[in-house]
Amino acid sequence: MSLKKNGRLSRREALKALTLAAAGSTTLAPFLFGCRQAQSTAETTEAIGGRRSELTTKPKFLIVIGAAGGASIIDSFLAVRATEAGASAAQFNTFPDASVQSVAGSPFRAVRYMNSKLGSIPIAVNTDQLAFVQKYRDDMLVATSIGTSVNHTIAQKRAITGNAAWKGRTLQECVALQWGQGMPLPNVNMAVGGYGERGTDVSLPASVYPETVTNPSLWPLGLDGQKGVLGTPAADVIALARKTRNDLDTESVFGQTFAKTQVLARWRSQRENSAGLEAQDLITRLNVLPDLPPQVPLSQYGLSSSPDGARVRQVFPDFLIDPFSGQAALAFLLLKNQVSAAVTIGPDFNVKLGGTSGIVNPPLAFDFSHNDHRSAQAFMWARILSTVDKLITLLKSEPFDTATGETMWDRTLIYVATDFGRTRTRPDNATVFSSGHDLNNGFLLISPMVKGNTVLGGVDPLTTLGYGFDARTGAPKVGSVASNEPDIFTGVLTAMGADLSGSGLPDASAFKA
Amino acid sequence: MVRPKYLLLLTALGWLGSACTNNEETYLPPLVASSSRGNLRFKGPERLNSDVAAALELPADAVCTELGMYQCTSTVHNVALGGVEPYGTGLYEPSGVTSSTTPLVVERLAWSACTRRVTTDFADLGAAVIFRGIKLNSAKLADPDGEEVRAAITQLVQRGLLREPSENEVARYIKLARDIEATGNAEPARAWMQAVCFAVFSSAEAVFY
Repeated sequence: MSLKKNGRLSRREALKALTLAAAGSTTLAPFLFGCRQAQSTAETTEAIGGRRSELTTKPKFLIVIGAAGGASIIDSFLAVRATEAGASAAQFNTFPDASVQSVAGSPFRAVRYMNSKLGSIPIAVNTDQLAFVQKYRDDMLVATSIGTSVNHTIAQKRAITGNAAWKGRTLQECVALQWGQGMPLPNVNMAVGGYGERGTDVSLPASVYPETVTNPSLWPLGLDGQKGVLGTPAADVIALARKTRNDLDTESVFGQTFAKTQVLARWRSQRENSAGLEAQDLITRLNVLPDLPPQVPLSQYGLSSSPDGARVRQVFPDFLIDPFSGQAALAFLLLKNQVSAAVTIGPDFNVKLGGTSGIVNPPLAFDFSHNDHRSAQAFMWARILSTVDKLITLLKSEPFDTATGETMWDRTLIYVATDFGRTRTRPDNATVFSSGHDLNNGFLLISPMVKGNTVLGGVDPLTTLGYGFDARTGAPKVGSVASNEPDIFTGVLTAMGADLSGSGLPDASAFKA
Repeated sequence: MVRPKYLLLLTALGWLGSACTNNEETYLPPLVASSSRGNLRFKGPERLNSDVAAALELPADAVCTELGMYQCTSTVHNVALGGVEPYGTGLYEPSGVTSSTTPLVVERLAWSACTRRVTTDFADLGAAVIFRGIKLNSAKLADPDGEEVRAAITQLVQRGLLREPSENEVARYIKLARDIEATGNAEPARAWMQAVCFAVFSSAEAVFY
């Protein structure tokens, strides 16, 4: 190749070089692509990020509770007393001073509420958040938030993706990727609407996408290919049948025609991995149900209850009539047996009858606030906090590492996600009023891993609206109402110590203990 | 015209690429053309249940139940099989992909349906739906390579996969019979009937379209 006197390529040489480069790249690209696919582990790991600690650290666990309908932070830990709100107290959602209890040595507040009715439902509501706050304040962090949607499903999804803060991944997928790769079902999701959706990052391994569970009591029956089916042949015959089927799946015209499709590749992979589910006898270990013929004739079908079944049923006695209790029971077993790194649960929008009051779940959950704000919020907060308390109690009783004395709770974070806040206005001094959806709210995180006894941000008592904070320093930013969905998302992962390198997420050090 | 040194460069690049031994194309060439679109879909709970019910001539609600009373495809495993649950969890659209537990649930369904079919057929082989006329020698197949066995395999594949079985498939299923006998199973004929039925109805071809 000759150069011009000025050291540059001649026009003809330049065109030739470009042509050759194009030809070369065309020749080489498919081979390099093939190599990359075949040897992609390291590259994929680099691309998707955040898997280093999976190999080097012990697992951590995330429980997301989808508080569907809009759990208002000013009806709980950041409640405002009427005397603090000045002249506007009567028009905003402020409480009589006596209803908002302070907790010594803590920035949190606790609401005590009594009413003879829950909206038009004739049951008494009598709740008090004080005991919960006193018990868990050192593990509690409340961060104020400004969302970007007042549509339930969209807001729910954004509460777990930080509004696509990290390639659209959900928090649960991030945790499953980081700590759940060696687990049978890293990400199990039992929640409703947007809380139950998967993220939009298609580069993640399929195993971290949520395994959707809609019936927590019966779902474990699907964790074995034949146990509990009467009349099946012996194990060695089953193994032969599976081998014959698998061989023919590869050899058949159908198998060869579609061998390279993602669908069949996933199917083969899932089939191989399912052997692990059977080997761990998860159909038994995750089975909350008791042997209770004729409705639940486990022993007649060669099945049995989990060794932890009686204990879990004692803590969650309503597990059969209350889906949220059933989900919490299964969530504990999933974590205890290290089947999952992330579990998602939450009440749904359906009315559920039962329990001591006759109502386990009001229609629309927190969104029953459209009908009767105060009663709905009090009832539902009590429902959420009671379940959280039971889960923490179980996790605290479960050893994680006898050498270090750690319990499961030491390595678990509970994120009470919610759709959005509620509107603040009310008719003058009304005690029964309705509320709408509002972007302004806050989230509760509970874990030994968060900076406990901490409120990030705050509430302006004159408007009852929250203001923001610096996610790095934790300094309040009075008057700031900028959206901070990525900060909350990052805060959860930062508190858990996730590897966020390459994520581009903001610094959220203020969340970490 | 391309100068020799450039040809050398291109050759070297080509060699470099082909030196990668992990390209799938370099081994196990397919015997049939690979689909360029490959737009496979999982059948989903309703279609799977109705297909198995029709193929094995079982009532739709008897294909598979958990604990003898809870319907597999419509209740217990609906979502694992790609169904929806709009009223409880607000799952309005199927996920579109198989989940980690789908293969196991498919197997439960296949075992459940096949054991039921075989139990009925075995009680009167002369009037059996699938395994008609198969002759037994005590608890064994009298002739694993016999016409009746081949006919039963053909029945299963025709009903389950809507096509004729290949010679390879017939040979494989006959070999399965001999392999089961070799395990010392007390009822090898019944076990084979269940196993071959299971192999057909839990195959990828039976659950994707």
